[in-house]
Amino acid sequence: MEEFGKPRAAAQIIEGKKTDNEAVYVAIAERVRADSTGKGQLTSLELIKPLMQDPGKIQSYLGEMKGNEVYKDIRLITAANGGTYLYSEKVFIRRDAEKLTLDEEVRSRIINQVREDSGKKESLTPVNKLGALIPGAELDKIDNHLALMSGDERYKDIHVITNRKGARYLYSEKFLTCNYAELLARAEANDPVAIIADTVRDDSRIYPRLTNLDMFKAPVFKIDFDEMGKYTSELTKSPEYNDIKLIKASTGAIYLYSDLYFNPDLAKATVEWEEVGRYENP
Amino acid sequence: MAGGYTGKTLRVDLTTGKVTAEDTLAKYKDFIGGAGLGYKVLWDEVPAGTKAWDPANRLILGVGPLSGTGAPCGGRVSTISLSPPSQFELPAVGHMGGHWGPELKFAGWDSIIIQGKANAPSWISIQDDKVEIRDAKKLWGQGIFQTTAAICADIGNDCHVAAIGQAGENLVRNACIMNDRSHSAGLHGSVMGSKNLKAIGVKGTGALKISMDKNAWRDLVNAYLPLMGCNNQGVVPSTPQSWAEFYGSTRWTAQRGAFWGRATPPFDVGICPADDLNKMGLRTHKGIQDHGFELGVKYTTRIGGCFGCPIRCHTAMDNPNLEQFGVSRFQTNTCNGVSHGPGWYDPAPTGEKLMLLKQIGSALADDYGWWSDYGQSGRDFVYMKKKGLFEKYLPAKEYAAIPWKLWEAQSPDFSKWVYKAITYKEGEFGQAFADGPEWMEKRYPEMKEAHFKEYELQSWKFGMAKHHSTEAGGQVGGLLNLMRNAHAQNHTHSNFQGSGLPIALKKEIGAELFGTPDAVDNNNDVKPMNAGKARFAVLSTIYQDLHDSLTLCNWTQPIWASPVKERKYRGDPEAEAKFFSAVTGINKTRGDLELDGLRIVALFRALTMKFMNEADMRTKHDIVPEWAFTYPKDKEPFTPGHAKMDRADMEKAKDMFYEQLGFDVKTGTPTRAMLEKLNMKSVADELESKNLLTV
Repeated sequence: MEEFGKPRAAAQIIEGKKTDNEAVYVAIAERVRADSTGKGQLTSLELIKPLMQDPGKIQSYLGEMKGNEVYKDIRLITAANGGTYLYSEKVFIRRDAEKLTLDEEVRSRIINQVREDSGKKESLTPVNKLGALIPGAELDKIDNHLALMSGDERYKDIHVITNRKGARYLYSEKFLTCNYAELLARAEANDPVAIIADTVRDDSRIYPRLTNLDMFKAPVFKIDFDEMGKYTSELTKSPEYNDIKLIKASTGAIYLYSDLYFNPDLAKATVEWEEVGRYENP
Repeated sequence: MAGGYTGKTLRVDLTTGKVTAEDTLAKYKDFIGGAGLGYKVLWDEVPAGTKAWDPANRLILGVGPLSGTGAPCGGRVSTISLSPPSQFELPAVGHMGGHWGPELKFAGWDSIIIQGKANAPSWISIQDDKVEIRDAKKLWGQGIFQTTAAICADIGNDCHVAAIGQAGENLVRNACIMNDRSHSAGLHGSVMGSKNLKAIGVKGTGALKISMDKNAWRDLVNAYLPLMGCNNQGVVPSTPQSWAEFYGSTRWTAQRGAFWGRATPPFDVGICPADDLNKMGLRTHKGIQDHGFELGVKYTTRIGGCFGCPIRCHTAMDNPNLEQFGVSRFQTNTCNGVSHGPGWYDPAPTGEKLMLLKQIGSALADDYGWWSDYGQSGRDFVYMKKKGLFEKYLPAKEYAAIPWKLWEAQSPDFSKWVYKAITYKEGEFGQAFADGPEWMEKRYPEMKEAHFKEYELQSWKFGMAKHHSTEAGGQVGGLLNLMRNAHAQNHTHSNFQGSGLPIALKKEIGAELFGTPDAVDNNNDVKPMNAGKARFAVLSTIYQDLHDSLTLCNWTQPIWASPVKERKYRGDPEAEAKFFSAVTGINKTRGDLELDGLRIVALFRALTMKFMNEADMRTKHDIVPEWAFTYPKDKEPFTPGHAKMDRADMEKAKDMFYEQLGFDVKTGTPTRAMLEKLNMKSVADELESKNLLTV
C-alpha cells in the first residue's frame, strides 16, 4: 500500500550509501564551489542541510571543515537578516561575498512578500511594485533576481505569471494553484470583457463546460456584476470575441461558451442539464 | 471469527413468535452480508410464486461486515425482499443510512430475517441479545415520527428505530422504512405492514472487532480520508478557490458566505480545502445543492448524515412558514427526499414557494412513510392531468371533489391532500397512486405506453423511474438501468462522470480503470459503444452490489478519482478490498472482492429469473425504453447535444455487457459454467430444473 502522508526522512542518502563525515564535507565543498564558480552565488545553509544525516549538527560539520586544509577556501558569512551562507574564497573575496549577501536579503524579502501575499491574502505580488516594497528590488535589477530565484530550489514554489497586458506577477504555488493565479492575473488586467472571454474559453476547452454568468460574482474576478449587461453586450459585438456565445436556460439563467470548443447543440443540452436536469436527477 | 461480523444473524418468525440465531458465516460467507446475504435468503427460502405480502415472503435487513466498524461511510443497512412496487413483485434491494444498521451490529447481530405474519400489530425490540416481539396496537395508525418517539420513550433515547408509517400499514406499495428521522429505504415498507410489523427498535452496547492492528487500521483510514471528495465524490470545488486547480458543477459547495443561516449563531462554512480533513464534513453545503444558494443559506441549520461518514449530506432546515400547514418547521432530508414535493405541479413554482412545497412533501412523506419512486409518481400525475386521464378514469364525483384550485395555485394544501389520499388509498385516485407507477401500467394502458415512449416521464421500464441512465455516460448508464427491479439508484458511474475533473483527466483515469479512454464520454455527447464502456458498466454493477453487501455508501464510493493533485487526481480502486481485508482478516485482493460481487450480481439475476419465471432476460426484462431511441426527435445518435441511443449500438452494448459479466449473450443470463465457477452449482441446478438455464 502506498504510504500516503508519511513524514519525509531528514537524512539524505547519497548514491545509495550511508554518509560518513568525510563524504559530507566533500559534498558540501562541491556544492559551495559549484555555486560560487558556476552560478556566481552564495550557498545558503538551507541548501546543504539535506546533505547531512543530522542537519542539527551542521555547525559541527562546518567547524571540522574549517580546520581541514582541503576545505580552507570554504567560508561562512552571515547576512544582516540572519541568513547564513557559504562561499568559496577561491572565487570571491570577502567584500564581494558581503555584497552578495545584500542580494540574498533582497531575494529573501521578495519571497517572504510573495508567500505572504499568496498565503494570507490570496493575491499576486506585482513585479513592478516590488521596488516600492523592497529597497534593492528595483525594476532594472529585478529580472536578475528573478532569474537567480528560478534556479534556486529554495524558491521552487515561486512562479511568474504574465497577463494579457504584459504585467508580471509573482505567486507561490504553496498557496495558490497555477490556474487560480491565472484568474487573479486576468483580473489584474482590469478588462472585464477579456476576463469573461478568457475564462469562458478555458472552461469550454478544458472541461468542457458552460460558464454560468453568476460565476463572475466570485471575488477572484473583481468584476462589478451590476455592469454585467454592458460587458456581455460588448462581448457579443466585438470581433475579437465572436466565438463567445450566450445561452439562456429555460429557468432564465444565462451561461456562456466558446464555439471554438463547444458545440452549440451540446451547449443547448448542457444548459438545461445544469439548470433543470441535474436537480431532477439528484 | 472474522472481524467486522458479529457471527450471528437474527431470525424472527412473526407467525410463531419464535426468535432464533443463526451462524452468519456458515451460511452466508460467500455473499458477504447485506444485499448478498438477503438474496441468498430469498433464494433458499422463498418459493417462486410467492407474493410480496405473503407471510412466506422474507424481509431481510442486512448489514455488512464494514458497517459499524468506523470504515468511512460504513453506516448503511440494505433491505431485501420481494418488492411490492414491482408489477411482477420481483426481488429488489432498498437501503438506508443513519445509525440503525451499526446499532444492530453493536447489539450483536449481523442481519435480521423476518418471516411470517404477526396476528396483531407488533414491533420488535432488540436490546443486545434480548429480542422481543411486542404489542404495537398503540403505535398502529401513528406516523413514523410518533412511533419513533414512543419506542425511544420505552427502551431509551439511545435506541434507533426503523419504522413504517400509515402508508406501510395500509399496504401502499411505495411505502418506505425510515430510521433516524430522515434516512429511508424505499420499496419494502408495505412488506412490514403486511406482516403487521410496525417497527424495529434496536439498542446495542457491544463493540465490533477489527482484525487489523489498531495502529495499522488508523493508518489505513488516514490514508483513505484524503482521497475522499464531497457528496457524490465530486473532487473539485464548485467555485474557483485558491487551493484548487480545477472547479466545476460538484456538490463541494463550501465557499465564503455559505452560511448555515439558521444556526445559532449563523455559521459560515467558508473555504474547505482538500487537505483540511477537519473540514471534510463542511464541504457539501447540501442546502445550497438542493435549494439554491440564497434559500439554502437562509434555511439551513446544519448538515447531518450517517454513522461513520465524514462527508454529511442531509440538510436540517428550519422554515417557520411550514407551521401554518400543520407540519414541523424543522425538516431534514436530502436529494429526492426533498425534491419530490414540487413534482406534482406543472409548472413547478420557484423561490420560497418551491421551497415550501419541497419541505411539505418531505415532511408528509417522511411521516407517512411513502417514497415517490424517485419522483415518478409526480411525473405520472402531471402527465395524466395534461392528457385528461383523470377525467377519463376517475368517477365524475371523485374528480370534481379533487381540490384542483389548490393545485392550480400551487398550494401546499394540495400537497397535504395528495399525500393523504395516497397514504389512505382514498378513491380511485388514491388507490392508483398508492399502487404506484409500475402498477399504474396495469391499471391505465395509456400510462404503459407513455412510460415506454415519452421522454418527459423519465421512466425506464415497467414503469419504474430511470435513475442515472443514458444522461450519465450514454450506454453505460443505460446498461445500469437494465438489470435492477426498482429504479437503479447506481451512483458508481455517475459519481465518476460528475467528479468535476476535465475530460482529459477523466479519460486518463478511465483508461487505467476500464482499458481505454474511450470508455468515458462527455455527458450528452455519446460516442459508439466499445469494450471499455462495457467494463465501466460491469464494474459499476458489481460495485453497487458490493457496496450494498459490505454496506458502504454508494454515493461516496468507489474512490476512483480523488482531489489529490500529487496523485494526479487518482483515487484508490483497491480501497474496498483493503478495508474488507483489514476488518475481517480475510485477505482479499480487489479481484477477489470483485468476484464476490459478481457472485452476488449473478445470484440476483437468478432470483429475478426465478420469480419472473423467465429465461430470456435480454428481451423480456432488460428493456430499453423507446424514448431512449427517439428523443430528441430531430437528432441523430452520436451527434453532440443529447443522449439519444442507436438501437443496433444498444444491442451491441448488451452483447458486450453480458459477455464481460460472463452471462449468455443471447439471453442475458448466467450460464452453468459461470455459476459453478462462482460456487453456485445448486443455483444452476435449480434454474435448470425450472427450464430457466439456457447454457
